[in-house]
Amino acid sequence: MTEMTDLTPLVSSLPALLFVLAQIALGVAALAAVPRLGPERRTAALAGGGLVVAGGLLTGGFRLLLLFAPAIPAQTSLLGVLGVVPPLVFAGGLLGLVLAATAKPAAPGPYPPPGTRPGAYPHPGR
Amino acid sequence: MIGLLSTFLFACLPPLVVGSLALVRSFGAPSGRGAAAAGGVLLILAGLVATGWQVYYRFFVLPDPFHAFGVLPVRPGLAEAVTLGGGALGAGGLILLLVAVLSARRFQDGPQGPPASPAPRGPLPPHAAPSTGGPR
Repeated sequence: MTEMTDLTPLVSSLPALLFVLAQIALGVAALAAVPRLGPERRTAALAGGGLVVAGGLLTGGFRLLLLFAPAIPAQTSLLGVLGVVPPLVFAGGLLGLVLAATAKPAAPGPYPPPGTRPGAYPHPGR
Repeated sequence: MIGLLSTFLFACLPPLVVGSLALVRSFGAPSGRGAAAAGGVLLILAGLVATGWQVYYRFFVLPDPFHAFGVLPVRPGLAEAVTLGGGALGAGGLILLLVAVLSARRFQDGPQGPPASPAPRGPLPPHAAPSTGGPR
């Protein structure tokens, strides 16, 4: 007779895992938008998106580790330390996205003197 | 006590700090102010939900003697509602921050240079040419 596996913990943690997947997808979207951003926002958006993806992966891995924790040797202090890391990484990613969203564009350089504008004006007679 | 402090410092405080920073910096942002401010508000709400749940769990649920028997003495569905609500608030804040970043890109694309010159005007098509000798 086959032994039935209890899927209740996995089912109960499905919503949290779905949110983790959404976080990873949004981080990937932020990374995909990086090449289209200005140079003053690019670094912050790159770091933010990367940290959001890393935080989502760490959160998902930690939740899966907790699901199968009874099968591995219980290291409660190690699990406590591991549980602290993913929210911090995710918060760092959010901070990077905040800095990227609210970055001010670089100040424009001085206006060129009149007469040096590139391109020729059309002749008024034409 | 150390667990309580570490939970507050590393799980509850970061969304509050990041949300407050987003809210404050959104006032001086050149674009995407509304999205950044709304994202900050959602992150603050997510932090408040996490803080409230931790306070409730640590000070009201854990001392309950029923918890020792493996029964979570809370209303059915409350823990799931907190998980779903906190996750939805965090995901909503993340989405709004992403919208703010993308709107900044659109803003940056716009005023960078003069708009593209219109198509060169050639000779008028024959049917639109002004008639000079037609019947009046």
